[in-house]
Amino acid sequence: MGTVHAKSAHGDSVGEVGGGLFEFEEPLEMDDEPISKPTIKLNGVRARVDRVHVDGLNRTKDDIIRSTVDDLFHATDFEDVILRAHKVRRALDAMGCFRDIGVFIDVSSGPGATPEGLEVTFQVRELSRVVGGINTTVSENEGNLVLGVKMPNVLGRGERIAAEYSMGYRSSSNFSVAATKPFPQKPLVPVLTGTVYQQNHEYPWSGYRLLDRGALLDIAFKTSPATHHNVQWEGLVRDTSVLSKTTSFKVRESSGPQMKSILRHVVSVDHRDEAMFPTRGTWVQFTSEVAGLGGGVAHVRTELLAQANRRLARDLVLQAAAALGVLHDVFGTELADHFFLGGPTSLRGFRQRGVGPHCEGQATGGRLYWAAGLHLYAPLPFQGSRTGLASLFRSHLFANAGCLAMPENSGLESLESLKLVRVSVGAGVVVRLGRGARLELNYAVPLRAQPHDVHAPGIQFGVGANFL
Amino acid sequence: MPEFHLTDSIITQLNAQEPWPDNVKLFQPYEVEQILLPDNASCLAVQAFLKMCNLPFEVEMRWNAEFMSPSGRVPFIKCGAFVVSELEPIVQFAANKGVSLCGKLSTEEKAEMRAYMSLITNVLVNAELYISWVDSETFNAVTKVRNSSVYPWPLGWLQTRAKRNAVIKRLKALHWYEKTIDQVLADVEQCCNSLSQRLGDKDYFFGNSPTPLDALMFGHMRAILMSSGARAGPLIKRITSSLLRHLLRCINVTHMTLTTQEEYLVTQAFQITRRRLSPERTASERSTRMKRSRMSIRNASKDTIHSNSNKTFLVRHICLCKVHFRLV
Amino acid sequence: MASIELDIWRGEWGLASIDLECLKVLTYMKFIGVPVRVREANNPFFTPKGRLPVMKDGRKLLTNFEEVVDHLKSLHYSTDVHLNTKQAAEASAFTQYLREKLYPAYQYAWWVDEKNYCDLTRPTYAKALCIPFNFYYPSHYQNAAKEMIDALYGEHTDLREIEKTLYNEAEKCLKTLSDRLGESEYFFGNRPSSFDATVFAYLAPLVKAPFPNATLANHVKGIANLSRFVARINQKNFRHVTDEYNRLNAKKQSTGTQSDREAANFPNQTRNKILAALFAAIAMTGYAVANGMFQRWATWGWQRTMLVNKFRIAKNHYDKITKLKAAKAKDDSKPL
Repeated sequence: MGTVHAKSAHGDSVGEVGGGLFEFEEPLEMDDEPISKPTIKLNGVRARVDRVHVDGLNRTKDDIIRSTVDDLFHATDFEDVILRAHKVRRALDAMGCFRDIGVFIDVSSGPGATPEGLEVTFQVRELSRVVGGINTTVSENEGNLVLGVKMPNVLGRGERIAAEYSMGYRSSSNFSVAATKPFPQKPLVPVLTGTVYQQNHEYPWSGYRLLDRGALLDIAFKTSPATHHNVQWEGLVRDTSVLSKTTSFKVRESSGPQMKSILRHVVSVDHRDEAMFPTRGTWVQFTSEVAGLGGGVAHVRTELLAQANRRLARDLVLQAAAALGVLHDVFGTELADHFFLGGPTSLRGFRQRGVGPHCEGQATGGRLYWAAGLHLYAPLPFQGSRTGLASLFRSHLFANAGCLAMPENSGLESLESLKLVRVSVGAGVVVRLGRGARLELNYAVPLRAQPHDVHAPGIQFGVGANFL
Repeated sequence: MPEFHLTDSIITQLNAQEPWPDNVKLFQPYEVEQILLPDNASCLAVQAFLKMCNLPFEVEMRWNAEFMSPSGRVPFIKCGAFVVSELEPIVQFAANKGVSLCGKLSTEEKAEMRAYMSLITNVLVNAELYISWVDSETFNAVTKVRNSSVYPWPLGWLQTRAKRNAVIKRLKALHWYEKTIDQVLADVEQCCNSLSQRLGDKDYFFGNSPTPLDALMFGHMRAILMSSGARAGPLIKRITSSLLRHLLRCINVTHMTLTTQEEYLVTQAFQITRRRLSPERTASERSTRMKRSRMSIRNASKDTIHSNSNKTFLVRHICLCKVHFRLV
Repeated sequence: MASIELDIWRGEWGLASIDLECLKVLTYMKFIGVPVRVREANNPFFTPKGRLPVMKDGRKLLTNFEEVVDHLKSLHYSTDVHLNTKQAAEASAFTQYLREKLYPAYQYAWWVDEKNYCDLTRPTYAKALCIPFNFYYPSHYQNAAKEMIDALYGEHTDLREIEKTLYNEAEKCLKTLSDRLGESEYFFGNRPSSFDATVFAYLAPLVKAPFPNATLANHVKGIANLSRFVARINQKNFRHVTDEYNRLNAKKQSTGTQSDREAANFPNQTRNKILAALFAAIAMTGYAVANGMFQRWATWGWQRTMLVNKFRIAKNHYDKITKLKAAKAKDDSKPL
């Protein structure tokens, strides 16, 4: 990428300041100082933007770019120009159409140039029309070949199509095709996504296999920078089949194809400083769904997840997490709709889905649950948590408590049955995998359990996105 | 797989020790609005077999019986912890419990019985599958409606399509798919002739007590008599009078031995005759008697189906039935 | 009547044909003694269904056993006239019984069992077929057999479980068959019928073929009266085939070594080897060209030429320079 220097012939003060190169390689945080050598007070310098160039546009439509960069023309002083340029750069980046974006600011010249006028140039490179990839994944007892194709910026306004197909060794194939259309100029910045998918899941702990085929329509929008909403409609055909001959009859009874239509609203408020290893702030996610507008399953299901973090000492973080779920069946609710609890990502010290009602060793799930966790995170001993590889690791002590109940079957009142608490404690190591997932290796001991529960004291290993 | 061997043998040993429990349940699809001709035949056959054995059981109807069954086919029985599907394994299962209908038969007769049972499953079952799923008239008028009756739209359509493809795949593998409807009916006729030749004018196929073969025969004959659609007439036409007499004898034997269940089979037998003559009355009768499916989208087409061209010989056969029934 | 022609798969291991259907038809024809010209076809490409046997009588083309039986009946050739109606009914019932219980297991043993298919079925059929077809038909038939097994036993996901179920059923079926036969010579009366032909066609290949995985074959061989039944019919009807096979075998054993026998089994082995080597060489050369290996050789050759010519080139340069110098000197001197 070429760099543009201010011409030295214009020897005025603006030119001198602008003579430095403002090229943002990384999306800078707004908290950070935008310039590295704050020798001159920039907000004193009056400036206005005469002209904005965007170079390298090919497929992307002008109107969307124009409305994005429009903001720049409202700048009044030089600092404002820089901040707004940075904001525009981030907005362009968020459109997901460009590979790299360079920003150059120069004094304006030519006809119509004002004395304090500036010219802002964005140099962009568009992503290629089709991006594809092949990779293989190996899970518990199956190898998968995954083919992925992405078409960014299909219609020139940030729309994208992503398709993924994975073919398993044992004739199970999953695919998903998603089309996304952002509306960056609209209020609340909505993003519309439509997905068609087919997915196979196996749940050996409950003895059944699911084949989901369905469509998902999602509108995501923000009502404040930290508040994120999703309104979804999902229609799916769910084929439940038993895993083996020894599957219990209760699980067998719920097999067969079912159609389900779900209306869902998810709201999350995130005030944490970071998603994986936060040191302060709170996070709340509330999911409510109604199934039964068509289809053979009708129920109301709500779930609340919350997390609070507090830094105790320099690297010592205390985290409290809680989860709560209620399912109200109207008709046709089967095993696959139930809540399940237990396992290395939720109630540690128990087997996956090991808490709550079981039938011949197979978890049948429940209608009500609550769970809580208390963690004390510390960096790995003898290592700083700030730098290098060590920043990916944390050690933690934890205590989990929770309860899952099916009040109809146990013959107890709802509140009564929720008092049968399970408790476990333990310690372990946490590794973060990228931005979204983490891996835990724990030693956990269940302290209190109920007769039906399947506990798994000792070393437990878990991978997942959401942890209690 | 060695583990399977092991568990299988353990199961046989275990269930040999225990007598037949009282809470045995037979699972099958909804009789009124869902069940199809081939499934109905096998369900009736198993019911008849259990009644012939004097084994108590309870019929439970489920929309997803087919998916609950370990073999994917109906009916199946749940006996304690064991789930056994289809006639032959159930016969085997009962034999392990010490209940058998073919104890008196010589080995040669047993061989012959197995052969005739194969004849029925190979010819009649495939013909029933063909007529239900391949013959377009019956498929559109009966099979499609009944098979999708328990599912909400559009799942019913998807399910019917998937099942049709599976049946066609099976018939293709057995070289039945290439046949024409006339060839299929000719095969049925030949099969019925073979069976009635074997039967002669005796009451049962072997000796003077029923066998699993009688149960199977009975199941198919009655299912065919109960069937509906454009091909029901031609199918019924293939039933010979000696087979019909056998059918009534079987009804009678289960009736005679099972006084508590008397209502069950005999009303059914009358229902065959009555339903053909006055569909309106039986429709209401059936809906009060039978449990409705959970997600029932009621199909109204059932009754209209009967009113088609082959009425004349239905009536003829019904008279035949009645006469024989009086004789019996 | 000499116009009847029958195309079949060739025989092996003392069998008149390796194929179930061919053997059925052939045995039936032997039973009635109808004059027929048997040809060992080397491809089923021109048959109506892509399968053998094919019987030709004048313009009529018949492809399966039932059709052949019916056709011959219309010509007043039949083995089943001595059966009464009840026996005929029983025969048809037993035919269906074999079809339901034994046929899937038979097909499994021949085509679906991977070891048998690789070591026995494919080589045997490949030998019977001529050259382009032997790449196609064995796998085509295998797919058909696999589809059938899948359609009938698709509810089991594990192939070994299917195998177990199939062989169990087949074993039961064979036991039943043996019970039915007892010690009599034929299944119905003391004369052969079409059902005997069917049973023979099922059992003979299982007895004679050297299966690597011989579960099903061992079931048959373990039942004495069925083995005797096969031997008896073979002796009576296909004596010449067996004798020839035994004679050949004995000759080979006395005169030739293992390799000779193999050579007899695969007559064009040398030619095939040369063809294979040629093919491999061409493929490798093609690959090398595609990868630009020759290009590197070419550059290397060019470099050598350059080296050889270096002196010549250097000399030429030197000459040129001196010439230029001389010319310059001349130019310099001119204006002065």
